[in-house]
Amino acid sequence: MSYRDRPRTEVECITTADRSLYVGTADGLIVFYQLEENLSPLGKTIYQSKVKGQIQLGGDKRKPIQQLTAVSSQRRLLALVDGLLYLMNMSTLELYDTGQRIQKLNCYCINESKSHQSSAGPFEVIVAPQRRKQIQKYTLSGERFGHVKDYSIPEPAHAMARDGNSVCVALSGQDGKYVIINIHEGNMFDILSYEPGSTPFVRRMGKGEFLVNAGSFGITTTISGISNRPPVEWGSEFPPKAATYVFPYIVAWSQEAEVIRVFNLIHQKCVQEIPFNNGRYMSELSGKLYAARDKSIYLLSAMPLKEQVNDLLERELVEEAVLLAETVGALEASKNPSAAVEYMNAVKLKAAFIYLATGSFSQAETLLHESGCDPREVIVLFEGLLPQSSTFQPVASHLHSLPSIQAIAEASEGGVVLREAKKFLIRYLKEVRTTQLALGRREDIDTSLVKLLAEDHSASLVPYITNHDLHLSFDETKQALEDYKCYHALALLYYYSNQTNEALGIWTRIYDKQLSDSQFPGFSYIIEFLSKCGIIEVVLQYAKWALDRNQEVGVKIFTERLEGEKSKQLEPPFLLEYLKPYPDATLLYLEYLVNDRNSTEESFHTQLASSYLRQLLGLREETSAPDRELKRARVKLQGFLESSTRYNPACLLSEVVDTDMYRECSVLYGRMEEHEKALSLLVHKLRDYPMAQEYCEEYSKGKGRVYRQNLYQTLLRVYLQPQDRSDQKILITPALSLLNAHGAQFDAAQVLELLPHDWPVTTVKAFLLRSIRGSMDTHRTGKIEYNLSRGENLRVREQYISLQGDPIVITDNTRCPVCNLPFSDAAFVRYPNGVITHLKCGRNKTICPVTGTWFGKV
Amino acid sequence: MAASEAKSKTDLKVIVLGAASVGKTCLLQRYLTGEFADTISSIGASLALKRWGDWNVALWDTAGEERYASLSSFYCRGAAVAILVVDLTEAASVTRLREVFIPLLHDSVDSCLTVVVGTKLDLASGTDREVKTSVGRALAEDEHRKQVERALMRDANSYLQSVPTEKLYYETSAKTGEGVAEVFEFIQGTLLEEMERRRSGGGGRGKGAGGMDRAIRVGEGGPTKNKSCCDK
Repeated sequence: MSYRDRPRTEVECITTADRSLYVGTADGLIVFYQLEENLSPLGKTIYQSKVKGQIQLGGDKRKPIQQLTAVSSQRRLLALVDGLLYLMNMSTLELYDTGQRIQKLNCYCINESKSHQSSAGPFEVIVAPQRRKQIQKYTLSGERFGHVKDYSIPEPAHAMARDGNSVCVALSGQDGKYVIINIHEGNMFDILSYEPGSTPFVRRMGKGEFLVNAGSFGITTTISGISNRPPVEWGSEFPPKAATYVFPYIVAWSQEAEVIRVFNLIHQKCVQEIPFNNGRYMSELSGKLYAARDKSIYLLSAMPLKEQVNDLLERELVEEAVLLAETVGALEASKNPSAAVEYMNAVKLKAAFIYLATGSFSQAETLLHESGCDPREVIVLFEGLLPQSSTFQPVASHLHSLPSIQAIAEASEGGVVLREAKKFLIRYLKEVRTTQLALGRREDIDTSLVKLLAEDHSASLVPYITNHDLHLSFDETKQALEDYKCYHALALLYYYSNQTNEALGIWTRIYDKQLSDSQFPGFSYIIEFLSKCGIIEVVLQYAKWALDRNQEVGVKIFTERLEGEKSKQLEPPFLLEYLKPYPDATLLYLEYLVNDRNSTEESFHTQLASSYLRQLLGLREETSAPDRELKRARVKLQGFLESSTRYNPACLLSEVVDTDMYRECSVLYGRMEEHEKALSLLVHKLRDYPMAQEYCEEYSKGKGRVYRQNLYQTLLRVYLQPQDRSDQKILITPALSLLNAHGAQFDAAQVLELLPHDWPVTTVKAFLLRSIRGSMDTHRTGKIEYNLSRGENLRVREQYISLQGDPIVITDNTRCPVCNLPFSDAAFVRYPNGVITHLKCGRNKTICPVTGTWFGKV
Repeated sequence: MAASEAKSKTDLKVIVLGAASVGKTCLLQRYLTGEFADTISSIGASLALKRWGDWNVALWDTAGEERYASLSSFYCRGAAVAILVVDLTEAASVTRLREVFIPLLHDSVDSCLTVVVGTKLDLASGTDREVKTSVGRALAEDEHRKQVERALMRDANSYLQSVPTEKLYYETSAKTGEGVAEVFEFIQGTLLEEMERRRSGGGGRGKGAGGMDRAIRVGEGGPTKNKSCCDK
């Protein structure tokens, strides 16, 4: 609007209340306008003004209006002219006599948050006298000011702003600084000093926060003197005269530079610069930004935030656009949360596409995730990636002008960008496929992902196919895997598509070097696979292949199968037949049956033993076989023969008996209870006497005395009556040591019979002494036991008799159970079991005539 | 006003102080982004927000140049932790720290956890090294002792006295990343433990354990649960 009423009048300050606009001029005039807000035919808001009144303050001095404030709650207008505070009626501009003159002021401030709404407390004005080191508090009631309190400050105040009980004051003087005074508690503390030569100003910005000018920086501080925001750098050649906060910006005006700068408070950067020459004033009033030149006043309206966002996006200032959009979203969220989210997502998606177009993939990735867009919108940008079977139609193409990533890559350096782009897409799809966004789009996403991984020959291709429940378009995936020679992955694809046979076909070909794929984990993988495979026909088919290549590993197909997966076909008898051509495998399988499955089946044990035996014999025939291996094989056989009790020794014996494997032979004889043969092998062939003794101990364990005696006797006989007479002399020593050590195990009489007649008694003295003593001891112990038992028996009988010693009553009614006649005379017979008969009826004293019990001698 | 609210919901303040071009910004950048980047001389101060457990943490980077001393002093207020940075290849940086920044810290903060960090370890080999480990360590222990004394004047149970002094000195390289994580892990660990203790009643702790109290809003029902959109 223009202001031309008085040619020499220039705008000095402004205040507003509702539709009222008050303009203070440089020559002491206050003009009151009524504003009307209308929409122009073009949809723009236009303001029309009407002068409602005016008043000249300060008489003829025509001093400028320094400060002007409309206090709508009180319907009052405050003005500071030439250091004197005036109070007027807001609508009539009638000047009140305030009682006392408040004068020689530098500035004043009111509680801004209270000025536009009536509140319970009194309306307060804080004033700063020009030369005094204090600020004063006044209350306004009706038309009068009342002085309440003074607060001393180190230097006179230059500018002030108030929030609640805190007043932030810019002190003038040599080292100018800002302080905050709490007018409730009366305490004061420093904020910081401002640079000499700069114009100090203080603005309240929202609740509990002030904006001050430190010289080169705009600083925000909370009322407790702490800042939560970094400083805003005004920039060079820009000494600000005023600054104000219009969310989310700080707007600063430099009269000298004739520029208004807009700073985004979120990242503290200057986002806009507006040339503004001949400026006189700038401030935010009731949320609107006013700026004044000499003769005109401008209302600077911020472009709607959403338009700003679009503008920023257009200029590819993505980061700022997103930040601002988030702010917009947060504002809108309280009104319409879903629309806010939708809006933010759209902005983010658009931003993401801008990043994609410029090759900033990691930024794009973050935004794509946040925007929650259909991942296929991105996939479709990569030519030939989306499966042909997909029904997807891109809907977001209006948000960007990207033809395809390939086109972008071609436009720039080419290869690098494309590779980067694909890497990005892999990362993105991996992430996104686990989210809600993938629902219903899994096949497109997964197929694209696998195609990309295959092309990249990525190490994660195989883990992905193995570990994740992928939804793949079979034909398309197969084609891609074949094209990129990812045969292992291809085999897995077959497998997961229930084409196990094909899968195995590929693996075996890879192993046989007909195909090549470094991802293939190797032979053991096939074995493990087969061991888990439930399709028996396939297992049997490929097991042969595997066994032909490596029996030891191949047999694991059967030995490492889980118990639950057994089918009748893979029962041991069938498998043993199946494995027949593979002796090593058979042996391992038998070991598995016996050791791991604890089979008690005799034939398995026998077969295992004979397998060991055959292995050993085979090794013996090879002249070159190393001793160590021979020994190992033998120990294995011996160990098994000794530990297992299930095999059929007779079967094995026939194979061993003609060899020099006496030890094994002896074990087998032992198992067949042919101890004499066993012992004679040990004694005569091996000459291992301790072993012979051990043998006796071993086999007599848990058996009766007689068995034991026989066994030891047998050994002694073997010692003393060798088939080869010449051995007799040599065997005397072990025989004697046996006798002397295990004397108790022998029947002395039988031993004596065995002993050669020509032996002097002294040689067996020890044995004889011990066995005589042993016999005597046994004899005496027997006697003691016998007599003790007899004593016990007698005692019991005595007790028994005494228990039966009751009187016998015979009445006329008592009848003899034999003849069934009553007893007529005093004589009768009583049997030990209590039966009473006539004398004549009980003829045999030892047999009860009724029960037939015999009471003979016990 | 989501943005402004988010920023005011800072539970902890960490400030990085040190002479000009010792590598304050690089140190912080390395921690925040995991990358090394050449930075230009910082102007004023800058701020990064980070989430440590349940707490919003403001990491303040200050400018080391003399003319910003007044600003730095202002932004130190309410800091719970001060990271004092010295350049291992520049003995003067220790002097500057002692003469300018430590007094500045003492003026603005009653007491706080102080950690001394030597930077440019990758360049500090042989004769290029001007600050010995023993000097740095002595500086750290000396400063910590002072902070404990200051803290004990207000609170006899201050947690500062139980902080292990051998963990207060680090040698780092923002270029290779060596030692950077350790600095912040130690700070995070120490503070979170203390914050948790305070939240759960604090064992009869009195008020005013250093500058932390002003920055910590324990009375308002613990930390903010909503992660703001402006957190980076």
